[in-house]
Amino acid sequence: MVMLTVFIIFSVITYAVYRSSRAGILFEAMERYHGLVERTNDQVSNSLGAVEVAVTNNISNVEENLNDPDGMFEVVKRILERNPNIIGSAVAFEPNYYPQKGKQFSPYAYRDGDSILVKQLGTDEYEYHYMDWYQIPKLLDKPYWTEPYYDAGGGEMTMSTYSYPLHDKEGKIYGILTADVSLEWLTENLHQLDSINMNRGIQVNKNSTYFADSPYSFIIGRGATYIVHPQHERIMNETYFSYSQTTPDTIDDHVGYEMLAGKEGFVRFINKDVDSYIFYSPLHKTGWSMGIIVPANDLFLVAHLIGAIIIALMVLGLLIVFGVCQKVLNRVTKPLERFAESVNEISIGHFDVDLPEIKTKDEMRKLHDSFKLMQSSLVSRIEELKSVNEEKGRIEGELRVARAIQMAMLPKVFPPYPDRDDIDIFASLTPAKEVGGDLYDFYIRDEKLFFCVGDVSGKGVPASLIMAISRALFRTVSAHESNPAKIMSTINDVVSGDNASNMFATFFLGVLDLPTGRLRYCNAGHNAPVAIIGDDIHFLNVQSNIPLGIMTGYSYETQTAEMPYLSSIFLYTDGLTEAEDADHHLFGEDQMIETIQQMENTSAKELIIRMEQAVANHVLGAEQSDDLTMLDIQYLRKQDEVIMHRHLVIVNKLDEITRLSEFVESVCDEVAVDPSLTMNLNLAIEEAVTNVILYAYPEGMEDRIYIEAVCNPNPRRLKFIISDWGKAFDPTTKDDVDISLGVEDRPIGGLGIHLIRQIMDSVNYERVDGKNILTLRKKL
Amino acid sequence: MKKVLVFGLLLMTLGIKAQSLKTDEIVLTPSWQAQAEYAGIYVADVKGFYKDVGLNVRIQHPALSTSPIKYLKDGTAQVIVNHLLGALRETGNGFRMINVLQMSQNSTQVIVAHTPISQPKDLKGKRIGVWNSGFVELVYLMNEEHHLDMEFIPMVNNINLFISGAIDATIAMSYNEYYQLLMAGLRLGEDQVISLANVGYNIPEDGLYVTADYFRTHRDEVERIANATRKGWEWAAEHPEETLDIVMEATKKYGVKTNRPAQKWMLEKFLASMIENQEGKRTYVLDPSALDEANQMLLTMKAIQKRITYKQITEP
Repeated sequence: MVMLTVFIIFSVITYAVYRSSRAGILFEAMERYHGLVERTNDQVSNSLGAVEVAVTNNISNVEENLNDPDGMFEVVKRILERNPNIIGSAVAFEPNYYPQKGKQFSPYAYRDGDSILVKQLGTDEYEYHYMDWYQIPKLLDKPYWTEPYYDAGGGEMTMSTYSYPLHDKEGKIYGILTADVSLEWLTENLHQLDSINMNRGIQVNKNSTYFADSPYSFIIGRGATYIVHPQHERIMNETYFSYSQTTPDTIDDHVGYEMLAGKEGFVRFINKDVDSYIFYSPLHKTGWSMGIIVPANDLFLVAHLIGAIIIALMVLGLLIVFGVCQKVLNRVTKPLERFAESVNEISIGHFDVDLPEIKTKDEMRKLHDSFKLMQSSLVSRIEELKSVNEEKGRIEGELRVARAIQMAMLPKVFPPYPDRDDIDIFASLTPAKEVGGDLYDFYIRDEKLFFCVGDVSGKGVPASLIMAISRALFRTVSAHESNPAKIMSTINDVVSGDNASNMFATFFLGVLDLPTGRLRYCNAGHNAPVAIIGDDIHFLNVQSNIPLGIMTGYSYETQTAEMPYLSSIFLYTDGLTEAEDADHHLFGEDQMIETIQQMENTSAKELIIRMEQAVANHVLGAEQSDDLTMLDIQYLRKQDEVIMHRHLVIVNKLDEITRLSEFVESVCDEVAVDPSLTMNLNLAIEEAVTNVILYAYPEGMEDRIYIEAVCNPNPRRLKFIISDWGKAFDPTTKDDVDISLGVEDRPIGGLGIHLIRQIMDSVNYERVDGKNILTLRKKL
Repeated sequence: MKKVLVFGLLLMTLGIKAQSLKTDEIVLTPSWQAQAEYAGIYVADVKGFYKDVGLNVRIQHPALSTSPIKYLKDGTAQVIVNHLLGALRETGNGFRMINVLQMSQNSTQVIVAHTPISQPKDLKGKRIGVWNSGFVELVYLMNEEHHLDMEFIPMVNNINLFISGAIDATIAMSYNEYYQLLMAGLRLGEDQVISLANVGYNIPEDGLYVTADYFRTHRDEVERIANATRKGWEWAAEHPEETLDIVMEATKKYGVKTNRPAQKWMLEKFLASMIENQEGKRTYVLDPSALDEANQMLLTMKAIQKRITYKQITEP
């Protein structure tokens, strides 16, 4: 920037100096050429004037000798003798002036080397009366300088003739007195002047065919004929216009006309493709005009020289300024470069690299200190990062373990019950982070499938902990309790009782009675599962309720539904319906239902896999934002064929036991049960019914007890269903009796249920519509 | 100046004497000094067209103030270039000249004046320069017909008379002096120039002439020289640049001061004047109607007493 400014200022100064020196040179040149023309003028005037004087001085001699025609030879000879610059002289008479001399008489003296010879000019071949030198002064009746002509045969000279008309006493012209003068000196002088005045060492070559690139002068006559010109063949052969009119440029033509008109001027024009200046001025007395042509390059040689010197000085100055700037900049930038090198070192990990030493106390020092600080900060930051990374690695390792543990909690061997043909279960859980807050679980106890799906608020480790607790509680509580609402309430009380982190979980809990397909369930704020019964696909009718962990003592209610043969229930967490694609569009319940509708007779595994694909197609690689859990349970049990179906109604009195025994025996007899088993069956049913009679009703309240006996042929099996309308009581949840205790010390029913379990293959309790239903089965 | 001319004349006289000894030599004298007006003749000479037909032709230019007819009369030349009008007048006066080749088909003469001359009457009483060597019959005729009372100043060769102001007007060949005037820096307006062809005096000019006697005795040579000259002109028309080289050589050889642009101008103008108006090409034949016109003019001028027939001027 600085350099540019300096450069511009220098350039302007250079240009101004160049222009002014150019103008000065032009002015000076004009003066010089003017002087040159003046000198030439003086020389021409002096030379021609002397001739004129010589001629006029001899008129009297002619007149004195008019009577002696032959004496005229002496007259003209004397003129030459007395005037060395005159090379020829004639006295030419009018036709037949001297009758004895014939039509033409013109004594003529001329030089031949050092001697002077005479002769008579007029001949048949040279009729002088028609020559310019005679005819023009005669017609004009005044003295006349002829247009110069080139004497090729004689002295190789340019000549001109001065003619003076001679008058007799009556004023009539009787002859012309002439004197020839060589103009060779003019040519020579001008050539010398050309060389000297143009300050050029180049001598203009007489025969040069190319001359326009050097300064030269020329003279043209009244008819524009070249009298003096560096190119000799032009002299007398060509006129100014024979070249100028062939050029498209009209300036040169104009110059020619101005010269012929006797004017003076100074014009720039293109001369033979050379940019030139011409100075022209008339030569007095003759009507001739002199021109001096100087190529612009020559004219402005000095200006160009001055320009070149200034430019050279400018360049030198610029170089010096540049050098000084460079030096100063170097002092400033050198440490910067070294800093840059140090930073490069640091950037490739050499944090301990030495910074350049700064001795000055300027900005460079500050920069150095800043770098130093940066260097030490970097080192400590990197140490910090290292330990953070180590910690992170450790946590990640632990999380991987936690995930393994968490996943281990969930049943993940499928199919889980390969020996059962009445149930098909498949589940999947995909956590959004290493560990998740979703859970599912299921197991079978007493021909009941206990299952659950839950979603703990939040994700990650805290959620996974709640999830672990919830799952543990589900297993623990449901081991003794078959009522979903009761299980749910118990879990809720535990979770919300000590919920310091204010976390909660939605939960769906179901108990499917496998023999009957009766489904009892309880919901705690979880998404409604989908029931699939053939083409009928609908959300299960669920009460929303509140999620676990929000309120201690909340009373959950059990709901019931029937699952027919080949029906299915599909459970999921909101990670499915709220799966987002990149544009935050949710997968949604509609799409979920649609996906299910597209399936037909699919296994539980296939259903979940296809659902996973549908979700994957929806999110298209977008990051999973929530844990995703799915559980599908398909119920495949056909209702058994019945070969015997009988029932007995008794009242809740112990004396009804006899009727009961007879009923059992007759049933066993009918299906041909062997007597020992009959006795045991009687014992077990008696025990169960006795429990109902003794404990199901308040003292004094009478009610019916309904006993149903069913026999299925394949496999051959006997089933007793005992229904009562007493208070809810599930004997199956009672622990097996501690038989080491005395009979009186044992809790109610404890021994009975133990006995029943020993005899029967399975004991199943359900509370349906205010009824206690106890189902006892035995293979035959 | 005079010295060289005298020297030249001396040589010329000696030459004539020497050459007249050669019996088979034919001297051809153009009407004036060496210039492109005679390009066809120089070409025929330099390219050997004359030699090719067994002729030994020597070109000898006349003295500047002398008519070529004088050379024909005194036997210096056997063949000359002359204007039609001059040849007819001589024939009418008893010296029979035979036209063997007619180059020019049009008049190229113009009159140039210092003052405006849009029509002949503007020349009334003017001092006008005319060539001492002749070729100015048309100007005389115009002077007669228009009663111009011009003062005729006979002159030789150049334009200095006009430029110096010694004369008011001058006759000029459009192919020669007119160009020289332009080159001398005269800015001639259209109204300063009268072309004779445009004011009713379009008479063919240059033709090749021999005497009737010579024609009778050398008919074969005459035909050959006419044909070779014609061939020279045709070649010149086709090779203008090379022709100019030849012309410039001739001007140098015969000591004529001129330059190439001037000769180029002349060659072009002269070639143009050779085109016959009706036929649109070079015919080399005298047009009978042009002869009629020329006869009429000469009779008007009383330069001849009776009409010269076509046969008279073209056959011996």
